[in-house]
Amino acid sequence: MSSNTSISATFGYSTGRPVTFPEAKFDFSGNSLAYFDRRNEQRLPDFHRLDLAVNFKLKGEGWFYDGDWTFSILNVYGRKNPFSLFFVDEFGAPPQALRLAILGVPLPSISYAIKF
Amino acid sequence: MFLLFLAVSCIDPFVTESIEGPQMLTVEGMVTSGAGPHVIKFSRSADYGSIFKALIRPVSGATVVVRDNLGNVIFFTENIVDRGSYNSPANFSAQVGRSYTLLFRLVDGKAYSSFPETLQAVPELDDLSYQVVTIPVEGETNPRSGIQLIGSFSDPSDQNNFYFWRNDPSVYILKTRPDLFTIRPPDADDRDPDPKDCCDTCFKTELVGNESIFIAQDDNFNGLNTKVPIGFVEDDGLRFIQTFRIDVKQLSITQRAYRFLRLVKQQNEINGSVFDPPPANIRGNVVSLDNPEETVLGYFMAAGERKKRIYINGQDMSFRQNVAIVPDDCREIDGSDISPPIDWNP
Repeated sequence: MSSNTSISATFGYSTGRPVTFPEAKFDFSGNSLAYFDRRNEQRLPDFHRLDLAVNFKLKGEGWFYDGDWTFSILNVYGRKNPFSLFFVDEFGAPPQALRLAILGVPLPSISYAIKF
Repeated sequence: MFLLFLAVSCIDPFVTESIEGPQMLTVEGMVTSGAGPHVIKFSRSADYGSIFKALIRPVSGATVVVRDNLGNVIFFTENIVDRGSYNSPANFSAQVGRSYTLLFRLVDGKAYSSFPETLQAVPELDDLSYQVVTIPVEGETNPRSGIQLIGSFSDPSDQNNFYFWRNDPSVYILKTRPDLFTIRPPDADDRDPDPKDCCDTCFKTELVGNESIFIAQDDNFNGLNTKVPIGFVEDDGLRFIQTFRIDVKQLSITQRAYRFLRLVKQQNEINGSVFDPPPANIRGNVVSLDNPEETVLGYFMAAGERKKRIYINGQDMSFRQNVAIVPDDCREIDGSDISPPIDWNP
């Protein structure tokens, strides 16, 4: 590994956010509704995410060749950390919880830093 | 960058630990100043989870009465066909100004009572009109469409009024294509047409549109004439071919009932986004007399009622769905009758 290249990793972990799950499902006026009682009794699954990055320092003439290039992948193992859970009762599926994951797939990114 | 996040975000099913909860009693019922019979339904709640835990079961065999503040008692009898539904006598109508309380005892001996609901008068619907609305559907060129019912009325200025609108059964002229009838295998070996001689025009009765909750309070129009949307009926390609008739009930409800319906409506509109309101406890107005801590879901309402009828000609609508083909005798369709209802008068 030359001194112009570096590798870094970031790992974040936090226990799940408290959420409110419905206690039961009932019908009213043809709609299926969820009954919520006490708030924040359950927790979302734990949040953890690994990001890897490779950084190249280029030294050269001109603005393009004198800066840092970083290639990184966020969420390397593609964990679908739930941002929220919601309960629906859609036609054709059993009433269930659905989770919304904001970053559900590994996300590659490139960044370039210029000095001026 | 935020837009990029949205592009890769995903919604998928999530297996929760099984949340075993008690099967809570649910009450759904209303007595109004309109014609009877009035219906009260009881059921047990279900758990979220596997499909087998998801069945909402009706509660049968209960003794149900409604008592008003003058001591008059009205007995409800269970519908033999529709278990869990209890009907009042057909000649019973609630009176404006009285308070009504629901009292019932289940088969296991447990007794329940609602809080008293005072029946308030409701203004007449001066006018009932409609407007065609289209709803674009992602990925399709043809939008969904239907009619939005618009009611106008004068709100009394000296009271806090809360309104709820419900549809009564609607009737429309059903056109089918018995000439395209084909006997299906295994009753026939081929798919040759086997046209029937009759009948292509019937009158179909159905109850639609009550899943959406239409409510209003008079903060913005106290004492004024107002025009508000009070219902929606989707165009399924059959309803608006010729004439469609619907009755809309305008109901006056109490403030507590309005709060209940507002929370039901809010929960129907949740879709998991960051803009959703936090879930609210949809409290009802029925308590157990044996155990006041027991949670009873649903609501018992007493409402003043006024009805108005509208006939809609399909030809007058600015947009209609393509005609749906029903290749059968129209009398075979559920709810269809060859003769019009007695009061059919477009």
